[in-house]
Amino acid sequence: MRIQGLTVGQSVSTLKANWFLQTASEASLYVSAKISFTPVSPRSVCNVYAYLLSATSPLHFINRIASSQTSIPDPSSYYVSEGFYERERERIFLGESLILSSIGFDVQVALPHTLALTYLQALGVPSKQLANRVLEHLNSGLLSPQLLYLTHQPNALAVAAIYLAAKEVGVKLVDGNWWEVFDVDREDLGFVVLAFGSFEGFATAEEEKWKNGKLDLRSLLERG
Amino acid sequence: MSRIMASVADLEHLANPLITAQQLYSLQDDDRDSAENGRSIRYMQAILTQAAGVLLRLPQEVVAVSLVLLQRFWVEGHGQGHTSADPRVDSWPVCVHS
Repeated sequence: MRIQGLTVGQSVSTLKANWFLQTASEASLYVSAKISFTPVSPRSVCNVYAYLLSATSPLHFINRIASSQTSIPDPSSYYVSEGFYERERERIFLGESLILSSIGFDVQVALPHTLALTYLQALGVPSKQLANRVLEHLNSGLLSPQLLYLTHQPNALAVAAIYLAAKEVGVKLVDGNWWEVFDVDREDLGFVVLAFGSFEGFATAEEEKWKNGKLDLRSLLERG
Repeated sequence: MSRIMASVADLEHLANPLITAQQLYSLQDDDRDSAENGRSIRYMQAILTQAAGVLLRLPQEVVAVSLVLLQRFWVEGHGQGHTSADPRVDSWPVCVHS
C-alpha cells in the first residue's frame, strides 16, 4: 500500500504521531457513528475537523490566541474546497480501514454510563446533581492518560465514579462495602477513584504546557 | 446450544476486552523513548475527538465509543516491533514509498 509522502525511513512512532493524529481521530469518530443510530457523512467530519484545526480553532492547543479572541472567527480560514474534501474523504476511509484492522474489527464497547445510573437507583440516591457529577467523572475518565476504559471493566468505573461523586456532592451512601455488591473489590475501587481524582490536576498541567507554548499541535500536524 | 450462545452475547454488553499490563508498559516505554510527548499528544487527540463529537452533535455514547476505539488503536499499534502472540498485530500495514 502506498501513501504519498511517507518513506520507510520514518519510524512507526513518528508516523503515528503526525499522520495518524488527525486521521485516527476522524476515523474513530466516523466508525463509531456509523455503527450507531446517528451516522455522520464524511463531508460533515471533514468540515468539522477543518474548523477545529484551523487558525481560528476554539481549541487552545491549536490556536493559542483563542482565549483572547472576541471577534467572530473568519470563515475563510476553515473553508473546504472540493479538492481538499476529496483528499480528506480518502484519508477518512483509509483511516477507517487501518483502525478497524488494527483493533481486530472488535468495535463492541460496553460503557459504564447507563450502568452507573442503574447503580444509583439501586443505591436509592437518584439525585440529578449526583448523577451529573457521576457522568462528569466518567466522561473525564475517557480523556485520562491512564486508559481507564481499557484497564477496568465498566462496573468498576461506574462504582468508582459514584463513590467519588457522592463524596464531592455530599450525598451519604449506605454503610459498609456496598461496592462489593457490584462485583468491585476495594483495590480496584481505590485505584480508579484516585485516577478520577487526579485527572483535574493532569488537565491543568497540560493546559499550562499549551499556554507556555511548549507543545504546538499545529506544527506537529504540519510536519506530518 | 442456543441458550449458551445467548448468554455469551449478553456478556458482551457488560464486559470489555482489557489490555495486559505488558501492553500498558510498552506504551509508556515508547513514550519515554520518543520525544516524551506521547501522553500529551494522545490527550490532545482525545480532546480533539471529543470536540469534534460535540460539533457533529453526536450523542456522548458515540463519542465515548470512539475514544475507547482510539485508545485500543494506540495500544495495538505499540505492539508493533515487540514479540507478541497476538495475530492482530501482524496485520499492521507497512507503508512503502516506491
